[in-house]
Amino acid sequence: MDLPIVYYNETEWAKTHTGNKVNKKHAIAGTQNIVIAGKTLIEEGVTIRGDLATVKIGKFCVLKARCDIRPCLKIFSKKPTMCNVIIGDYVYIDEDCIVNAAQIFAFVHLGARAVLGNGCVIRECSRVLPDTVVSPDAVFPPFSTIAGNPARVIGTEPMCTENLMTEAMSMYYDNFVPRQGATLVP
Amino acid sequence: MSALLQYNKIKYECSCGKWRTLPDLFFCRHCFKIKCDDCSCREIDAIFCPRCLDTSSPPEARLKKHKCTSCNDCPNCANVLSARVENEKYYLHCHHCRWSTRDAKQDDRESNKSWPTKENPVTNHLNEVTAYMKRMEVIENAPKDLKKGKGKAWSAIHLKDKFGVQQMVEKRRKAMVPEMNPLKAHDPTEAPTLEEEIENRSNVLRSLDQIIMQPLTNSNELLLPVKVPLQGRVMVRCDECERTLVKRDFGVATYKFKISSFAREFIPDIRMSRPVKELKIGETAHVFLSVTNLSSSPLELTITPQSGEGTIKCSNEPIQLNLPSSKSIDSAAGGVHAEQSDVIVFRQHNRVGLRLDVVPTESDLTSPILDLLLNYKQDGSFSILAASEKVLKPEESGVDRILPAHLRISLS
Repeated sequence: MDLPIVYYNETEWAKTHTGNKVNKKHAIAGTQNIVIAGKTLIEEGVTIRGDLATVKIGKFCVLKARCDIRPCLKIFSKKPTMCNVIIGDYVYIDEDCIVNAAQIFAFVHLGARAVLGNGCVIRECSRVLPDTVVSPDAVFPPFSTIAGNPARVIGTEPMCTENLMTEAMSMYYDNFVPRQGATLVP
Repeated sequence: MSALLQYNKIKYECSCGKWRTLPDLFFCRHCFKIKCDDCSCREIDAIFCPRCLDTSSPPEARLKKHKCTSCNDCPNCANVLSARVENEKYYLHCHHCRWSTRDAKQDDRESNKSWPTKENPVTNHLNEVTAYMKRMEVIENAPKDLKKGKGKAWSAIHLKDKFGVQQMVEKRRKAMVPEMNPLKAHDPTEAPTLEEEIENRSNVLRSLDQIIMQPLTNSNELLLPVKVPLQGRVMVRCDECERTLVKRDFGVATYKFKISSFAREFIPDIRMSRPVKELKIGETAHVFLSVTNLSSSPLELTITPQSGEGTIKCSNEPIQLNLPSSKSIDSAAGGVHAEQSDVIVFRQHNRVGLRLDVVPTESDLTSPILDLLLNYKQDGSFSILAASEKVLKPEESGVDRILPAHLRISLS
């Protein structure tokens, strides 16, 4: 199914010169530590804890409503350290996700209400099904379908996930248009 | 990602007759056929640990018993075990079920590697038996090997045995044959009685997963960390011409492909454009589809709605379309049929939106399926031919071919 056109109210959204669209009702802290590549949509109620460590988000990402991104805590021999979070390009994070991961690589789809534990790594082209709980420090190879509590690999994603994800995410961005002066393009 | 675009509702027919979604299919450029995972060959391309993404060669993997030496799983919940340091000594801890190597009465270690595993108690005996079988093999093959080594020139001398060569050969052969000490049969041990077993059984009941992970551990023994089993990465070949369809790039962690021939890049991609409204018996309903050409050449295609048993009736005539390639720069689409504008809803570069009218009957309501037949012209320059074929059949190389694709769309 082609993704539907989503109209947004321009007064509620802020647009940056790189094409990022951020809902004004967010809970983003430490903006000086947050790097977003461009054309990324951040919906209402999203929390990003930039005050704890650097957060890097790639291009064409979608952070749906109320998801929470926070740096992971690693305990080294001397003292605990908050590690940077890196989210790749074309990543879709559905509603109410809690992302405590160390790294999410490109073309990853996180289902609704998924919880990613402290310091886990999800490699490219993987999909986390809704309501999954990924345990801390877990690493998943590319092209894995991840589900369950605790999360396990339950299958493989189609090999052309990269193309599908690129197409879907750019379509999502293109179909996210302001309400005023919107043209009807299916 | 097929989840976002809902590819699971549209199934294409593979050349073997199975119905699969388009992202799961491959296209062989030599046979010009659609291939699915069941009618293609798979070959292991690399062996790696899914945790540390460390590759090992096949003999190395065999040596490691197909298990990673440095990664451990929790024996209780099959989750990752994280290493923790206390007084400069390591122990493993599961963040999910709070199991730790201390529960297994293992002392903390200086290094994080080589945690003990439960070994097979009869390993030595097994090794002896295999060694014995190998020796037997040598003995059995010795006469054959000797015969092979002996040429025709030898045979005459052998018959005469003038210089006592035969004796010498016999002597040598005897010397070559290894000593034979038949192994004793495994002494029967007394089978435990049911009463004994019940008496000795611990109160811990293990789940099937736990038993499968550590089949050698008895229920009264403590579980030990499980070594992570290695995984294989596959490459796909066509089962007819054995040409590679998919091969990943060098390196295990990569998601890029060296060779890829996905069906999406050759066959017109049909998707639902909008959700279908509720179907009512006898009333015309509209189905909005979008056809995308993702190949690198322009496509001419005809869409013919099929009506037969078990499929919904579509009242449209066959639709002819001309789609520019995804890579062409000029967005002006050639060959727009203005008279078919009641069918064509929109045109965007390499994408066309269609509106089909369907009339459901009572039998269609439970599982409405729209059956479409596509005929598309495939650019012949895509085809891969062997050098000999190019010489022998020059008329067949590089010729555009009209190919069919059959698909079913579930409207529910």
